[in-house]
Amino acid sequence: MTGPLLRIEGLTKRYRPPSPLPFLNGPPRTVLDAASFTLAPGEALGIVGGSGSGKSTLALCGVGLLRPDAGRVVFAGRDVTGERAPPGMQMVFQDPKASLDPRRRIAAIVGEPLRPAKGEREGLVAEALGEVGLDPAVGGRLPHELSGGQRQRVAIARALVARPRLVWLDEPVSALDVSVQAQVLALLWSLRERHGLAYILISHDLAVVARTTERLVVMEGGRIVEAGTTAEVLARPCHPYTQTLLDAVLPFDPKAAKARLERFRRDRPRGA
Amino acid sequence: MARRLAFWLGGGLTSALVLTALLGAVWTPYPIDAVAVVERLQAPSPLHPFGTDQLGRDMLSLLMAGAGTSLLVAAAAVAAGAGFGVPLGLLAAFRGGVADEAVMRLSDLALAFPALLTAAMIAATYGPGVLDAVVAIAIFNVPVFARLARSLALPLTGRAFVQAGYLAGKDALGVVVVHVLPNVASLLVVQAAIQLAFALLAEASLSYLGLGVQPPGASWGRMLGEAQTYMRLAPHVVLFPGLAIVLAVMGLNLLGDGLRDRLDPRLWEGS
Amino acid sequence: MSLLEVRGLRLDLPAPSGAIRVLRGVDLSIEPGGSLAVVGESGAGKSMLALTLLGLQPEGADVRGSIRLLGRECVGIGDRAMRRMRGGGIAMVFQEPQGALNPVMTIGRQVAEGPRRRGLGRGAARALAGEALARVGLDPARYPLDLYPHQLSGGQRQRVMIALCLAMRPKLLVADEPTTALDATVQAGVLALLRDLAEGEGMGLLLVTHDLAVAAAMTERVAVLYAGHIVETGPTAAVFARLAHPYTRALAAARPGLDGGGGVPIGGRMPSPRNVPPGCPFAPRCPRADDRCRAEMPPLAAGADGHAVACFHPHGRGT
Ligand SMILES: Nc1ncnc2c1ncn2[C@@H]1O[C@H](COP(=O)(O)OP(=O)(O)OP(=O)(O)O)[C@@H](O)[C@H]1O
Ligand SMILES: Nc1ncnc2c1ncn2[C@@H]1O[C@H](COP(=O)(O)OP(=O)(O)OP(=O)(O)O)[C@@H](O)[C@H]1O
Ligand SMILES: [Mg+2]
Ligand SMILES: [Mg+2]
Repeated sequence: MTGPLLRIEGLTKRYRPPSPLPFLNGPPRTVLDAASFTLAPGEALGIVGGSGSGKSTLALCGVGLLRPDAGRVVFAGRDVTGERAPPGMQMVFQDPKASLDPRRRIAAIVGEPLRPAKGEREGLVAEALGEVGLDPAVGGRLPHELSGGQRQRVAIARALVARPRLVWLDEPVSALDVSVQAQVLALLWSLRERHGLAYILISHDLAVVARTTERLVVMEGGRIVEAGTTAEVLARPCHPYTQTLLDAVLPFDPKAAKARLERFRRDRPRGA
Repeated sequence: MARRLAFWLGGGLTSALVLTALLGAVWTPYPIDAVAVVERLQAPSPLHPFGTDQLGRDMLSLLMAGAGTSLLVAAAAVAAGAGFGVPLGLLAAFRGGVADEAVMRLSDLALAFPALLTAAMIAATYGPGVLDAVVAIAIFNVPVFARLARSLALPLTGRAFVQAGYLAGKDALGVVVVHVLPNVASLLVVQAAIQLAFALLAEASLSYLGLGVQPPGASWGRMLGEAQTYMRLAPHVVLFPGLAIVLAVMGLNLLGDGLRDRLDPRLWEGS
Repeated sequence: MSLLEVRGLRLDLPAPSGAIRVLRGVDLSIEPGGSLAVVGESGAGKSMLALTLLGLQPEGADVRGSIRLLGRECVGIGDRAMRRMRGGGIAMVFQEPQGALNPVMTIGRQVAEGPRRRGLGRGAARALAGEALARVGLDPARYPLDLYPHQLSGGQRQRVMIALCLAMRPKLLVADEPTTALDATVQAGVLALLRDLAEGEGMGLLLVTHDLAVAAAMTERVAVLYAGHIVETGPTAAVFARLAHPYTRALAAARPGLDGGGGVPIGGRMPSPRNVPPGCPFAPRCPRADDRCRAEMPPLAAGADGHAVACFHPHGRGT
């Protein structure tokens, strides 16, 4: 393949802190600080980082729903910086409930990115719902009539139904139980193999990125602090923050998990 | 409980108003231009349940015919107001910047002009008629709807489901029509009911001053205006048109409030 | 006296095509300072259970059975009485924080609302709000109280929701997936905080989670919910020592490990609550199921250690 599918160059986003009086704002806070990486066609990249480290901001700037203060986004050889939702790119939002129009039925929501004729459309929607483990009969329901995990899967089905070349997934499986999670991650992987789908998976769950991505980017305080192949980063974390993240993963065994939590309680400075 | 009562009472009064107007358009007990001076200013009686006016016309027939005029003028004005105001408000919300500023300043300007003054100006230019009442009241309604639509749409612009519309390949217009309008429609309908009450009142005032409906058209406001000199002699000639206006305005207001509570439970859940 | 005592709880949602049977006879209880994790697959009815406990089930829902909260029966007491109950001692962290926070109110004011309602002055309530936010890792020095929810990240919003509940000083906290949007470090911090409150201040905790590891670390008891039934329950240590129900086993096997192991999806789909087959709801997906399983629902039978399982063919020790 020639050239990368996506090139992010020095993306930066700043917000002014709120202040009771206009004109008295302090210096702007940089929540995304010169993030750069590239993605080859059909590649799977993971982004991990603490809460508030700028992952969602990076994704929103990447798909053009947020205007970066500096930097460039080059998609399929074209500069799409600031262009809202360039064709071929999709995104799954972090909060699935907020990303579904409360007044539209599930079938209409999932079918929205599709253009073709009606009959074909119904089939594609049903197929997309089935792929994420939902009964196609939910197509007739409204978002509030689904459980949290079912809504999250609807959002994933919508992002994948039109077979984009690249999809940003912001915590796509956080509300899913492990079984459905495994199914969705397997779906992503197989779309990658069959259709050359490239994806960027934002997750706080290291186990999830470990099994579904080839390369990994670690963010902290708006900066990319570590990058490399997933296996390498997880096996030999260089940055202390990555180390902390790895340490905090709860083991499955109740004794070990409790012990880990106890240690965390002891080490934690009071009041933090 | 009280809320439910408001809704049903408002709904009942409003339906009665609409039914009366519809009936009045096709049938009245007496023709409304049947002038009979000998029967003038009769008190209510079995023959004329609401009495007769200063020209001997049957008050019930006049009120029935007037309901149609009042409702039609009010509805046309509110429809025109919403038809221009809502798109302007949505444009302001989604375009922001200069478009937003222009829409907001223009609506300030329009709101600063009382409907009465506008109507008088139009009447002075083109002569009095139903149309100036409609135009004058509509001009007052455009900014009301523009502001409301803007304020309802503004918080939606950043919502994820609206942004998801862009990702699905829609442009701003598509997103507004498919995702924004349906989500703000219910509160716009509520406002329309309340604006209808205002418009009804405005129509009555304009006609009362002789600026709206011209004879031989019937109008509640006009009935009030023409009858006021006979108020001492025959109180029913002002009582019934006055009562009709009060009940219609109250009904629409109650309906608007009742609808608001039904459609948007959030408004009272927290309190 | 138990903080929460639920017996035979059923929840049916009305639908044109016949009632949707979401909860089908749930029993559970929580003592002061006690903690219970409700785990289960997506769509099992966990959120509906949590919402029903607080009287927040969807309008028109049919609730039967008994819910005793702080010693008072709550089924059928009406909206107003239920609202008073919610103000006085129970709080809930909702699964999706976006909808639960008021977008046009600063986070400081929202968190201070609980203390204000307890009668604290404006200043004191604000100080308390700052403290509660600091405890979930949102130090007011970095994240001022006058931020609005949209100015926060997803995980930060979820923590505001938790702070809001903690500031209410609840006797019982119902937390629906409180840490789904949090990375491991913050998750561990929040979980540790919840445990501190349970142990130090006797707060009861009902934790809804799909993560068995969180359940294992956090709670004294677990209940596994499947298609509206509790299929396995007991003290956490006993349950994890021997996952007896084939469903719980499958759930554990589906958990991905950091080493790339695990992650085996459970074949098939959970039956829809609109259309419930007779017998054990897991039977269609269960490798151990026989004709009896498909015909009748196994009762929840408790062993000596309090570990109860609703299965005709439970896994024994070591199998
Ligand atoms: N509109 C805004 N105004 C001001 N600050 C903002 C705004 N949106 C986000 N922020 C800040 O930017 C930082 C990064 O937010 P972002 O949503 O990218 O985090 P994240 O990495 O996705 O975190 P999480 O895992 O919790 O979702 C946060 O500290 C947040 O407070
Ligand atoms: N308002 C509603 N009308 C009809 N069905 C509903 C409604 N709300 C929920 N359901 C259905 O009830 C079942 C239980 O939903 P619930 O939200 O309790 O699941 P959950 O266990 O919390 O799942 P998740 O882990 O995905 O959040 C689901 O099958 C869902 O589709
Ligand atoms: Mg985020
Ligand atoms: Mg749920």
